[in-house]
Amino acid sequence: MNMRNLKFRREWSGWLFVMPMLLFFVAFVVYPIASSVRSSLYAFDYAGYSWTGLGNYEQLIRDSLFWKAVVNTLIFVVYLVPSITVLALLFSAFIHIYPKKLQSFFKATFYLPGVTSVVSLAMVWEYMYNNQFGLGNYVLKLLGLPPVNFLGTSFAYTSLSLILITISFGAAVVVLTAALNGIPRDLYESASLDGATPLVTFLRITLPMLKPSVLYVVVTSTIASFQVFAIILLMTGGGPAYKTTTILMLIYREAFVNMNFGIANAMGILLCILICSIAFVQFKLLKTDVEY
Amino acid sequence: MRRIPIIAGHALLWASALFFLWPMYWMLIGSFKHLKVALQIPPEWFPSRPTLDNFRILVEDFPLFRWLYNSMFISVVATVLVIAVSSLAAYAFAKISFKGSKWLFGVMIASMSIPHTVLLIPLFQMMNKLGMTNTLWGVLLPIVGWPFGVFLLKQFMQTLPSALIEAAKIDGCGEWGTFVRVMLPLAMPGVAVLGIFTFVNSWNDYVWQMIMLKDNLMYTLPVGVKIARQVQEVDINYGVAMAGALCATLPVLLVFLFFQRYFTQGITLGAVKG
Repeated sequence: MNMRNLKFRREWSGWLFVMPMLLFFVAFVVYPIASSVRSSLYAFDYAGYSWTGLGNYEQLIRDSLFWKAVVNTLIFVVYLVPSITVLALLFSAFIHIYPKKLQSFFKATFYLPGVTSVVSLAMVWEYMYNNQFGLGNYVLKLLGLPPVNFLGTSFAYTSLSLILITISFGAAVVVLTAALNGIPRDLYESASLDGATPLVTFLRITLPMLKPSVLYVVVTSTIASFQVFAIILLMTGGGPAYKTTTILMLIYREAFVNMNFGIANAMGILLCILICSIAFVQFKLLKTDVEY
Repeated sequence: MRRIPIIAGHALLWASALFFLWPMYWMLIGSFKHLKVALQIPPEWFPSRPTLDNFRILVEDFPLFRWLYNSMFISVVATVLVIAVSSLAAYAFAKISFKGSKWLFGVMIASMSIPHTVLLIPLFQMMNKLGMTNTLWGVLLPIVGWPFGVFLLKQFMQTLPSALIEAAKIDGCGEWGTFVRVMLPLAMPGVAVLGIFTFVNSWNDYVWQMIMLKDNLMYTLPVGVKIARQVQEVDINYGVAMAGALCATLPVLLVFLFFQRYFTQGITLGAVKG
């Protein structure tokens, strides 16, 4: 009898401890998701909302601007993910040679743009990218290169990607440096006893040991790249001529400029499905031969 | 000859570090430049006649301190709430085995794979219905619903020995006493990581704040400073823009510099689960 009473109290106190979080979670995560799905099934016209079923989704699939935004988003993913992963891997390999104090300096430096307010970043970069008074074109001139319209049609992707790389680079460096420091030294010692060259050591020991961390960097930076938004909104507003309009940029326009929340929510759900399935595939592909 | 790639690698590393620090330096320098100096080509690498005019314009023409208060309020209250709510839940998930705990934790973790930005639209509609747009509470309450803190602290608390809990129980502590007197003090390093992350992320959640706050006196620093720059659009005053950019980022920058160690820990702690 006493035992059962104790068990009951345990159950009860468990739920009691979880309850505050659960309330917030239901109110601000579960309910919004449910209402987003519901709202995506309603069409908007100036009279109000009416049931349309999958009408919003059909409309999106036929909308060329939506597909343009999908392609633009994918271009950002292709620009960002490989450059972040490869450069972070390369830099971490050099950083972890330095003494701990300098390692911390490098980690902090590379993480700095990640904690800076996007508004501040956008303003400095806008200043540096300014066609007439900007530092960018001045430096190009010093190097004997012709001036560039940084946020114009042909350079907007590169210019924005440069900023976006600096924003998410630090986390990748921190994760990979920690992973490199975590590889047991004796693995290298026995490799050098066996007469392995540095290249072989890197390919046979370092890379396989780093695989889980590299996977983590690839997946998180892919997810982040799909959600590239604030910097674009602040710097080009999706222009010139929709060239840098990503899916989130389009969602923002539909919701807060055109006030069509049905379409905006439908796009949000499609984006969500896209991100989740790509992350899932990456996990499966990269995880197949991870060894511990 | 074999050393050349190594030397080039180190050179590239230092050059990149400089490149990453540069925007911050240019912001700092620019905020002390007169308009004319700010637009001068070739640029001044270090201001020869520094001025505080840009900051004076910001303080006199805009409610800068009100914006600072709003940003502080959102970040501090959100941080306190997140710590309170998630440490309670994390304790239950880590150390009390109750029916449904595995399932509930699984649901919370799964929900974290939903891109946060997708929630902004339904959250805005919800706040609109509740009449909570343009309020600081409306901005900060949704931050508490995100279960990242539960995940982080549960990971941390799991590593703490259960024997300590048993000992506390034998000494007559209830669940609450065990949580407050034993678990929370031991989990402090994890709590610090969570607190600092929450503070910085709430401060920097520009898009959500911009969607929600529509009134000059309700703006946060990043939102306000951006508007201030737009007001100045006619004759782009980059000096004032840089001063504003510096103000919007200085508080989080200080937090980052003081607690840098915790950031590194937090990122790696989050990466452990892969």
